[in-house]
Amino acid sequence: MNTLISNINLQEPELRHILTEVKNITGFDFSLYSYGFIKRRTEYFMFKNNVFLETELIYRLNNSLNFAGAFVNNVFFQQYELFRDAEAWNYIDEKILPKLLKKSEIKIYFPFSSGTEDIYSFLFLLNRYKNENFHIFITGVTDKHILEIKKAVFSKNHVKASEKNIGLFNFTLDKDDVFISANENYKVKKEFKGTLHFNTCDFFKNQYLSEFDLVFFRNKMIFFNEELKAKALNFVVRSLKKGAYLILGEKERINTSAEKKIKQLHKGLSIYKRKTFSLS
Amino acid sequence: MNKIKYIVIGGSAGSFRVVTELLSALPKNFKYPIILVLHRLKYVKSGFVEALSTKSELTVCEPFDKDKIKDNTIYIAPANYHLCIEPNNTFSLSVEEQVNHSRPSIDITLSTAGRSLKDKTLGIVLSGANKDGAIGLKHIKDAGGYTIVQDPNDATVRTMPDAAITETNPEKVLSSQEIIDFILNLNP
Repeated sequence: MNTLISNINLQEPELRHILTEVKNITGFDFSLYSYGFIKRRTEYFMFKNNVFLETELIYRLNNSLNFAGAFVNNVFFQQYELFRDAEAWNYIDEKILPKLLKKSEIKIYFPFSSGTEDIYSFLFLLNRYKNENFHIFITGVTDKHILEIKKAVFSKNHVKASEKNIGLFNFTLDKDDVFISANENYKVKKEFKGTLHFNTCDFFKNQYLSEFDLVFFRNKMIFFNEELKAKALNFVVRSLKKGAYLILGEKERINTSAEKKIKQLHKGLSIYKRKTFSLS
Repeated sequence: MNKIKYIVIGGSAGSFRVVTELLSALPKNFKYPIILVLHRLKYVKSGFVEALSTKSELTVCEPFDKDKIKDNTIYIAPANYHLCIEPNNTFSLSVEEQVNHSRPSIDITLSTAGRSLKDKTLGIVLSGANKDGAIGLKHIKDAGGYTIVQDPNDATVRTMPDAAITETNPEKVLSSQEIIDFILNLNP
């Protein structure tokens, strides 16, 4: 049985009821998340925890904050390889970084982070330049995600799965240069974490972070429905300096009002630049 | 069967030939969208759509997240994403866990198609070397959709058709040519 597609099949009113309870208990509002996605993650969570009825799930959510927290963390689970989409990383390395390196202060932003892969891919890339002008800001979806990002531990399978991406990259990366072995895992060396500033905030309520030169928002909008996607994009675009760069997931497209403020830099790659001037 | 408006096909090892023959046979006015989920290397992004495009008179593309499903179009699940179908007739993409060691997983696309599009769905499982697709096809059948599995004796690799037949008890078990004929006959 694939637990990601169990035989549990919640009907819309049942799912809405569960999400209302989750919001009351945790403060997380998933009502504007992509319907199929949140339905699947909820059914997956139920299956993993041997819960087969909506009423039983609601009972357990209400009786254990840990259980409710586990529900939230389960929603944001995503895992992919380091340097996913090697073409995009090559573009960042060859076209964007050389321009950023000319600046005296470079601000990078990873908003709404729930995974470690993009953050450490970028740090490994940056390490070759030994440039101390980079300041990297990370906001996590939850405190637990921030903890995981700080821990920076990758399983051996995870690193092995990344090796082909690294092979497609235009520079070589030696595991021993960036990781130390920790039991059955690899832990990122401390020196890579020196420039990181962590924060947990409600991404949709706290828009005080701005004036970034480069923002990574890869494969986040796929969580959201159209309404929340438009809102998220507006926030992300606003966080960019004029002339700054935005990296989205390979199959994420901008078709909202934010489109007026940015331009795609390379057909086929979801890499954008905020326009210096815009008509609105 | 008259309700069918969406065709979702899953294939793995040995299915590429069937898919290219199907695409070559489809007329330019073929009405219904065809959604193809084929196991593919996640590191190889270019060339796949182009190779299939040369075989078809219809538009062949990889959908973007939240794209509307359009008639008269062949969609290919992009590498390293799960391709899901939403109840509002749009695609959504996901980077959730691999299923059956695969992303895209056939099970995920078939299952979400069945649960979202219900009896408007035709689900087809072709040749392949693992069990991906079996549960998804069952979800299509459970939702009132129509299900077809390639005859294991006709498949290059029979593991996937065998698993789908066991799990689903499909409406039809057909050879690759019969599957192509079946699809062509759907065109109004």
